[in-house]
Amino acid sequence: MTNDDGHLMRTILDALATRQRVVNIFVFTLRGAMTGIGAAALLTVILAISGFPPALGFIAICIAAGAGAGTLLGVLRRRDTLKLARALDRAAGAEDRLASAVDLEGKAPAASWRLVRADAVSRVSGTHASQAIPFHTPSSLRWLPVPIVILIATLWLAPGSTVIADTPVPDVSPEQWTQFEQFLRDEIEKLPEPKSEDTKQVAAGMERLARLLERQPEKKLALAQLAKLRTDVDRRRKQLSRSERPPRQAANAIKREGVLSRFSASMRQGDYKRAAENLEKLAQQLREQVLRMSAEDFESTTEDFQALAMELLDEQELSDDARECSAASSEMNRDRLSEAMRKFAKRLRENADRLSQCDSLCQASGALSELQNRIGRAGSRRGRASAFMRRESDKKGGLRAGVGTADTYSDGLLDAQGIGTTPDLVTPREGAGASTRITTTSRDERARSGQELMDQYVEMMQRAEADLDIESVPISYREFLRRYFVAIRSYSEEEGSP
Amino acid sequence: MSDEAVNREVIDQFLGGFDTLRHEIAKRIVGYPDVINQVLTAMFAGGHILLEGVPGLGKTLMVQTIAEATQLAFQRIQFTPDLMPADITGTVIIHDDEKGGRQFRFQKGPIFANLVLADEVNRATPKTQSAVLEAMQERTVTVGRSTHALPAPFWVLATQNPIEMEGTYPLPEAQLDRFFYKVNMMPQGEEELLGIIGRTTGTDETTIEPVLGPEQIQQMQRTVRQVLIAEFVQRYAARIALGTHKDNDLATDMTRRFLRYGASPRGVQTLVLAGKVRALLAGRFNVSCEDIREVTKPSLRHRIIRSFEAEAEGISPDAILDSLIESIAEPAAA
Repeated sequence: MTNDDGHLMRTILDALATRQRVVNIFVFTLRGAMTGIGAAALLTVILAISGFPPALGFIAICIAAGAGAGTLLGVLRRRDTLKLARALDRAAGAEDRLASAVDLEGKAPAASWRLVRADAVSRVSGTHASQAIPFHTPSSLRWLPVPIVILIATLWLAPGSTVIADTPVPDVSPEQWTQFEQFLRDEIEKLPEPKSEDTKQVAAGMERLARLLERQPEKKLALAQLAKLRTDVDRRRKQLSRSERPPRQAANAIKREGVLSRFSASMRQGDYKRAAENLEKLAQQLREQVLRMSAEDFESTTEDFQALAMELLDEQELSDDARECSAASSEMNRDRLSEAMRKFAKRLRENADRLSQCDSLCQASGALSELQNRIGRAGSRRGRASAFMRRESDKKGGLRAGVGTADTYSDGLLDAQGIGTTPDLVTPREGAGASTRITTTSRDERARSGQELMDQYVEMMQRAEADLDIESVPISYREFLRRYFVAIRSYSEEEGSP
Repeated sequence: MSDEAVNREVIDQFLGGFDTLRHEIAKRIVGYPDVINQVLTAMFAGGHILLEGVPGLGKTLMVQTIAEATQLAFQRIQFTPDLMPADITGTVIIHDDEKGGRQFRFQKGPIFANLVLADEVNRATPKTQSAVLEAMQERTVTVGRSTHALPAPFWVLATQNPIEMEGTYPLPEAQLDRFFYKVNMMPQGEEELLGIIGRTTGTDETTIEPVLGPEQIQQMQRTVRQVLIAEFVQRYAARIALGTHKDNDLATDMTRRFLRYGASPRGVQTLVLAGKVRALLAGRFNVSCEDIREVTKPSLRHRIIRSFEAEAEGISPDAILDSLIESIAEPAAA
């Protein structure tokens, strides 16, 4: 009995000591971490008062240091065997049997002590150490919210805080500025190589604007510079042509298959000299009767030149030459057609450089217009539109299509007429019934975009507001403008469309 | 400390003797299990008992029953205001010897017995009450120049009426301290009264059989003293006793306010001895802090002197001791 009891009592006490060490490490680590949080809160407040921005890394170091020191203390903390024995006595309901055995060892007569020990061991041996020394969270943990609240408040309110408050939110985020700059640089890349003084000036202006966007300026300044550049581009373009559309788009009116296919292809690419060469070749082939044209070919050619003449109305001379070609083709007069085509080719060659410049300037103007829209929408919390709702693509659903407006509205039905189009947009299509959405399809069917009328209204409103941002509105006009927007807003809300 | 070890057999004998005696007493005494336990605890710890209660609760009957059941030499002293010390201790008288001469001879008083019932001890004058002081503590009686030893075991069982009643003299503090336990006997409940009626108003008479002799009792008293008590338990008992002293650091707000004097070292001795008896009764070889707590009130309630404020506000000694037990921390508590 005696040896076994002695061994058993040692085993029990060892198990208690191990358990106590584990609990000590847990509790002291928690306390250390809490102390670390408290210290971090205190130091953060001091730093904030001193004007230094608080850092999350510093707080993490404080907490880790506190927890580490606590763990060390937990490991090194002395364990009182008598206390452990009393804890196990309490858990086992042993009424101080084990504690008495521990305390009386070497003090009481051996025979009596062995009796106490045997009684104690038999009573507590069924009780696990975890019941005697359960894990518990330190009572001081209830104060934990205090330093945490102080930390959060300090991080929130301190200057240079790493935690950004909800307000104020900048109009345009840094990421958006980066996107804008990238968009502009992509557009610059797409522009043809500048050859004239005008295109060089425009390219240089766009490059300056890109550098400005790189510095993430105030939205108002960016829009002002953008508007200034765009005005300059438009001015230069108007000096070259009355058309607001790139001349090369006129070629879209020509069917892709037919006698004029190579000519139209060169036109669409903006290579007017090659287009002129192709046309001259056709004229020569006609004249030398190398090219044989059927009646259907003449009819098709007639329609193509007629459509081209309509597209080139702003280029009066070219339009007249195209009309002459159409007339000659309709008479199926090969010589006349050959001569008209030669004449048209000659004029096209003479205007090739100017037309290329027009294309380039129109492209630049379009890019600047799109950029202006994007910056105008960015950061705006009014309306439902987002600056980057649409994909950056010229294909279906891309950026080129989808912008248009209806200047007539009748019972929710929109017809194709009266739809103002952007240079890239052509045919709006509407289905039957009440309309809440406008679908716009490019003439070549490659691009199509649908847009809710409400979104369109929002976009237009934002454009207007962006324009207003550029220049300050005289006080006398402000009330008028306010009423105007209020009026159209209430109208749209009541009717569900702009 | 004696090398003689307490073992399971000894404990069983103790428990057997205790239970047999308790059962025998319960044949005649209806109810009062706690009172009987406390009385027997004091008896086996070698201490004297003060039973307090209004007249007619069975105090005297209980003591008589114990005497019958233990085969102890029993004497009853009825304390009255005109009782003199010599009536208790005995006196020297002139004795005519066989040769016709005369000599002084000590005539033993009723105190010379194993079990003395001091009935209504507070009805005698303090002078007479003090006559039993030496006997209770020293277990000797000194008359004139002679000291006479009292028989062993010697045990005083005193009863008293509540001091608020007329015609009573409060026991001196010094004498109170000599009582191991002061046991309060409260009026019985309805069921117990029915039991009393059944046993005492019929023709049946309860016969008490002697179940323990003086030798057995003395053996059991030795067994009590062999129970081990750890140092932290002794320290706990000492802290409780010290807590009754209002100038001590362990004193609570209540003891500082409501106590004039605290328990004497006899109080600690009582706590430990009573704790040992309780441990034996629980079948243990060691005294626990719980034992000390359980015996604190009967051990100390008559050893603490309340202040005037406590008496005026009706704060009982038990209430003060309850607060003390709550506030005194156990040593080596986890």
